[in-house]
Amino acid sequence: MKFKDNLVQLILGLGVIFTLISIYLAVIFTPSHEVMGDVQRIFYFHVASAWISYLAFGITFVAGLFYLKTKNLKWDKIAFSSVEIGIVFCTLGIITGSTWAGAVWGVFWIWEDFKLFTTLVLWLIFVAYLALRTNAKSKTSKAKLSAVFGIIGFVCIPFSFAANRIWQQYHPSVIVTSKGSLQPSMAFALVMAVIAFTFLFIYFLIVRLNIEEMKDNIEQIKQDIGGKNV
Amino acid sequence: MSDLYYLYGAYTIVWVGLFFYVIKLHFDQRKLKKEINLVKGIINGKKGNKNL
Amino acid sequence: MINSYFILSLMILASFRFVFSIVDFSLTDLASPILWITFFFAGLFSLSPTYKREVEQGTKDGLMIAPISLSSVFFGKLMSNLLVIICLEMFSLVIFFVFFPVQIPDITALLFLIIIGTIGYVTLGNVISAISANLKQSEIMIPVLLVPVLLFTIIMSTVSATSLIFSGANIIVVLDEIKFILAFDFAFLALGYLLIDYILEP
Repeated sequence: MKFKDNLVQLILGLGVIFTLISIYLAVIFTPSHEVMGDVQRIFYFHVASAWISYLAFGITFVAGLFYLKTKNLKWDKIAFSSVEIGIVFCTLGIITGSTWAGAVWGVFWIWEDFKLFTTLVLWLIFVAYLALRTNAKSKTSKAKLSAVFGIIGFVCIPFSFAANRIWQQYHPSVIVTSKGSLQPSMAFALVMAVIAFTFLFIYFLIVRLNIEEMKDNIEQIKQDIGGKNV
Repeated sequence: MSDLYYLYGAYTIVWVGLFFYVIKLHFDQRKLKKEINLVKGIINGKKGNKNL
Repeated sequence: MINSYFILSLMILASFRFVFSIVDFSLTDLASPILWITFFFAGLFSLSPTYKREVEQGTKDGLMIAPISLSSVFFGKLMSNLLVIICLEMFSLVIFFVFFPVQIPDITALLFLIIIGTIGYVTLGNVISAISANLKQSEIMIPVLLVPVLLFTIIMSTVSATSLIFSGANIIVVLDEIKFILAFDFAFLALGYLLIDYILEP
């Protein structure tokens, strides 16, 4: 128990340290972009947020598979916690991506940018997943159906990416989506941002799982007192 | 110059958003800990009454 | 009950016709989206009772203890839905050409695209229908669950390919898109086959 608490504190500490390092790198250390100027600095945390949201959904997918195999509700808790955190990072990714698009291209959204598009699809799948859980009839039904939908959603993400690329082939747009070269210092800052967000994600996941376990404990205790099946 | 407003806006949204999420998790944990203590207190109270 | 689906697709097309009579629009540009949105939303109501009826009328248990695999149940329902929805779409297509007089040089390509698009849509729709039959507010949950996974994969590809057909392309031009739509169809069929046991088991 104490080791687990210490580990959690360590992860939080590392997350905060890497966050501070990555903010320094993103804002001060890296040079301005040759084409976009300082506004390009949004890129580091936009990419990191989007990456973490994909990681979160990947975890939901794997946890869903494990739940269907083992029927152990702990996997369902992991899947759900991961979705909740993922939707936070996905929302941040979309807002920062949209802001960046507004700064660079003058419009806040273009369907041709497959990164923005795929992140939106992921966001919609997260929202649908949460809606499914709200409307489930029992705990096991909720876990089972969420796991199945998580698998379907995860498979559809690369499909929607492919569909967008094919569509772009037939409907080329005048907006150029390539953003110039990435210097080594920028790549380093990006990697630091991703590491920082990964640690924050792991910390959030552990805390969220803890909250789910506490809710289960309370329910168990209430059942023991009342003797009713919830 | 207006480009920098986009930069400030994006950074504010990211860090304020994450900060609010941390606060939400913290308050959820606190609320649940209180509820656990309350419920455990009820059980102990009932056990105490039984012993009497 | 099937008559109601036909009337529903008629109403949807009439609504589009009315709405677009107020503004200027290019028929060749908008024909494909109007057609597929009609198919999608009219078909949604046909997908809804597929599994929900079993739950409501209590015949689900009978299906479970019948000496056939759950995948066979899935494919059976898939076939019946496919038949109903393709009939519905053919009817909608006729009404569409009445309301929106658009020229198409290659009608076989159009029909082929409609059929392969429908296969993918009905497959995934059946899986989602099976999931939402076990949820509260199941009628609302079907589009909520279906739109994120279907709209940006199959529907986007079919709308894109169909719009090229309406602009005068023949089937050779849209061959890449057709290959992808077929790939989606196979993938969704495999997904449905693998997951249906978990959805339908008690």
